[in-house]
Amino acid sequence: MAKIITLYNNKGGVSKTTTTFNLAVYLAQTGKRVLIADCDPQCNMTEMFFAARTDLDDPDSDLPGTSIYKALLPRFQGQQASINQDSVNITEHNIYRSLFLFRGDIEFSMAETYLSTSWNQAVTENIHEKNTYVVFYNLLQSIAKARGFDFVICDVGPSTGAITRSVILSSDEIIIPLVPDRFCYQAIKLLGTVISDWVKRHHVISQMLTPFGINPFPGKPKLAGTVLQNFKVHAGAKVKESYIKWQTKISEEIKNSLFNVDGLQPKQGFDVDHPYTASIKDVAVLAPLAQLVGRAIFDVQQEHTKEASSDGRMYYGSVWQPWVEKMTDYKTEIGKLASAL
Amino acid sequence: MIPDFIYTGLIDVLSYRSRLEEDRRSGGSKFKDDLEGALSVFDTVNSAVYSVNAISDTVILTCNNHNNFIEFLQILRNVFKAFMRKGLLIRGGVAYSKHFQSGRLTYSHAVARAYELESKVAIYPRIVIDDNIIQMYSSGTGLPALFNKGWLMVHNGITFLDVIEQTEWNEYHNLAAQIYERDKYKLQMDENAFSKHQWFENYLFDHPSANMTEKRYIEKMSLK
Repeated sequence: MAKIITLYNNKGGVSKTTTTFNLAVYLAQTGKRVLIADCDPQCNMTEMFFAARTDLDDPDSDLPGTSIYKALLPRFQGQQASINQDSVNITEHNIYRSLFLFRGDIEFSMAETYLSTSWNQAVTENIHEKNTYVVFYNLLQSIAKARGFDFVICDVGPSTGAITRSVILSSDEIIIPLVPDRFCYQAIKLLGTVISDWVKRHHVISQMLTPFGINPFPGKPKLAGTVLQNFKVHAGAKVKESYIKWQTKISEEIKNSLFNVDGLQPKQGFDVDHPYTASIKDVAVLAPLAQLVGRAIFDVQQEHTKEASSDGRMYYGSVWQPWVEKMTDYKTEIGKLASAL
Repeated sequence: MIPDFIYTGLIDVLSYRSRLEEDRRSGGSKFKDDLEGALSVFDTVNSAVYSVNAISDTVILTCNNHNNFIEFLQILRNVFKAFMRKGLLIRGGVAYSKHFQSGRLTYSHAVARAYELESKVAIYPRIVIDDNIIQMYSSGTGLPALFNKGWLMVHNGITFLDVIEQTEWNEYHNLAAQIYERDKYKLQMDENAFSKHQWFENYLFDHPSANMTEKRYIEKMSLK
């Protein structure tokens, strides 16, 4: 059975999408079959996934594959009890073999209403809402099973809305990307309560599914790891101190607030005393460049540096070497995340 | 308190008050005897699976096992026929939901929903099946093959139990005609009560087993 993974933090700007893409590429390059599900109506993942394809430059051209919204719409509208995975076309990456995308859709924001209603109504005898409640999990699992995926990695927006909730509850494991600042600290304090409330409610809903012949899904994600994004760390001692302060506070909060017997639990092997599974240094211009050329940050090629240089020349020697080191470091940290899964 | 999930059929005996009033005025017990006769249809049901409670004009039948749902519907068909044979039309709703019963306490979402269907959806002499049950059998797993029986009819989006067996159409026609003949003077100017007979007559003649050589028993509209 495929593992469904989501990188999640309700605080935005923590590099969820970038890290998700890089983790997915890493897993694909290490022999896994990986499906990325772009569940964020902002569709940044979809843009990133297709960035290396010049045939899709026309903004009005149809993107390949079935969008997540179009796939689920027959269920939302009550036309089908469940979605047959055969109806979903996914797209393989043009550079990275075994890496596929279930593409996003701006209109997926409308799913907030459908999923929110099912969250409220699935506890009643309303079968339509019960079917909607389980549709996302069932579709991802059926696609993964039929097409032999090892991992389904979901990209979500920074919210606690209905879409995010469905994705998180459908996940086997989550990874929390963090930046060491005040609001991430506050987000961690909130996340424990939020996920705990979701898991408890899911348990109540699940009890109202089985008697109606509908199989509930586990709905109890575990924390596989966290990734600390240090990309704004400066050399100045004062700034650094501030970052260390927030790192320490966040570590304490992970230990004291994040976990709950009825909510989020750490995966076996997760060290609550040393909670940062990976720590990513500032990669500077590598991140936007990788995005521009549609590659993983650790897989930018020397020829791509033409895009970064002011005179259009490729970087060589002592200019290129630090890039290689940064990419190697980055890949090492992404590898740590992959090992935690 | 751990609730069970059960099927509930809530049946309402139509014209209950007027029939009761007839007994009161005549000093007889014809209506009581008819009710007793009709309710005797439950004498043979398996009490481990089904429970029956009748009070005033309401009969509540429950079934606590998915595997018996088809049989539950057959019982309801038998109930409909038993009441018609005693000159009584009934209407009802069938729902599936939480239900808890212990001693004097009955706490039931299923009864509440069945009542809602009976009072607000059925309207006419028919037993309406909750659309959630239809969807449950359309998509659920491990459930009996409900739709193979051909016992469900649909009209204007409402699914109801088809009570007429292929060989019984004439009997139903005769029973409905007799009830109408008996009540037709009381139905004068009472559109609500009259519409129930009209609906049943339409149901009979829309039915796949309809004997089209038979005549409609309700007079057509005429010029004054």
